[in-house]
Amino acid sequence: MTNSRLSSLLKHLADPGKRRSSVLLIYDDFAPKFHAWLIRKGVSRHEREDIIQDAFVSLLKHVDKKAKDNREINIEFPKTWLFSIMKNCYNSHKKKRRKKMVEYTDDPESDCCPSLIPPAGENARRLSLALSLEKAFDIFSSRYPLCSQALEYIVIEGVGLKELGVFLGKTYGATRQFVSDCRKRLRTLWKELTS
Amino acid sequence: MKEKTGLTKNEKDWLSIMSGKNVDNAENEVRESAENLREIILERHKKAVEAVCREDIKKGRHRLLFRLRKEGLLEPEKKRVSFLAPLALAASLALLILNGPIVRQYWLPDNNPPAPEQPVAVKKFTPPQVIYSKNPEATAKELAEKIKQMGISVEKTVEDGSAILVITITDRPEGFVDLLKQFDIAIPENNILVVEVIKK
Repeated sequence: MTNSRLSSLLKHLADPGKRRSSVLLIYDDFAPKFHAWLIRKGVSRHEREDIIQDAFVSLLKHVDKKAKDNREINIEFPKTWLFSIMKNCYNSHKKKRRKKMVEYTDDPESDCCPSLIPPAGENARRLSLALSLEKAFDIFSSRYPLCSQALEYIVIEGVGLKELGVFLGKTYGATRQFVSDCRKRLRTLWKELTS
Repeated sequence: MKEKTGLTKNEKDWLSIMSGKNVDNAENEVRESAENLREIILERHKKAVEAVCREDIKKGRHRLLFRLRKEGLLEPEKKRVSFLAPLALAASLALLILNGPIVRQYWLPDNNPPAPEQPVAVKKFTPPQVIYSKNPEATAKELAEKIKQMGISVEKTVEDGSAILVITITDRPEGFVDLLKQFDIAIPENNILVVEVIKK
């Protein structure tokens, strides 16, 4: 679904006669993507459905609030905006369930992460480039979940910095710095594994 | 060296390759790491998408609608009118007209003078529009899916080798009229379009 198509469907949500069909069209397109995203985060099937439903409830509440204020929904990057609603629901859900997950930290020197030293007997040098990078990315993902989410979003949705800022809820400048930091962190991990 | 975006050239190239863009003059290390990482992420995404069950999405739709209704965010669905309803209405009216004099003669007291005869308004019955196809079910499915994609409600029934579509036209999105024209279907006045696909 293109951004312009989604934009028009979001406007239709404010019309009670078109709301049901618009919700279903958005759901049919985004639910598989949301499920896939949540699967990558290790969320169970039951919880995934709750999170996706929460996202749609939030979406419609937002639309109704706008309609109440006689304001039209006008989002620059509606796809990413919708994804960010789902991501926020996932974060709330995670907090509610008090899952034992490593929390994101902006401090690259945080000491909350698993050991970077490969298990004994494992010779990182023998790993191929891709395998070592994959391993580095796994550690990176557990250490910096928001960074890995951002990189995944760049790859899967092909977004630029401006649109990524919508997903992350950051300004353009902060997003730029964030991406630069993410790359540095990943490179450091990768180098440690291959050195 | 920082560029317009505030990123160094390597960072910018890395980001561009990661998002699937072609970069001709990227350094080997940058290209290698970005391409490999992109491949890892896409492979994982592919596996995750494959793990999404179609049945879950289908059930999720119904559960979502239920939840939205429960939260008061969606109006209860109106009962769909069967395509036989206009026929049933016409038959009922006809029966009433035919039995009217009998009822008046035998059941009602004859105190009042007979009312002057009024023209009876009978709802016009619109017969289904017919499409002939070698494979009615497939044609109906194809047409129904195209219409659904446009956000219009379609009810499909398959019976004895023919398929019936009841399309409630609430909106006329772009391409809808052209799609109907392809099948030589006209939009009825009541906006409830009944299409029967019959085997050629």
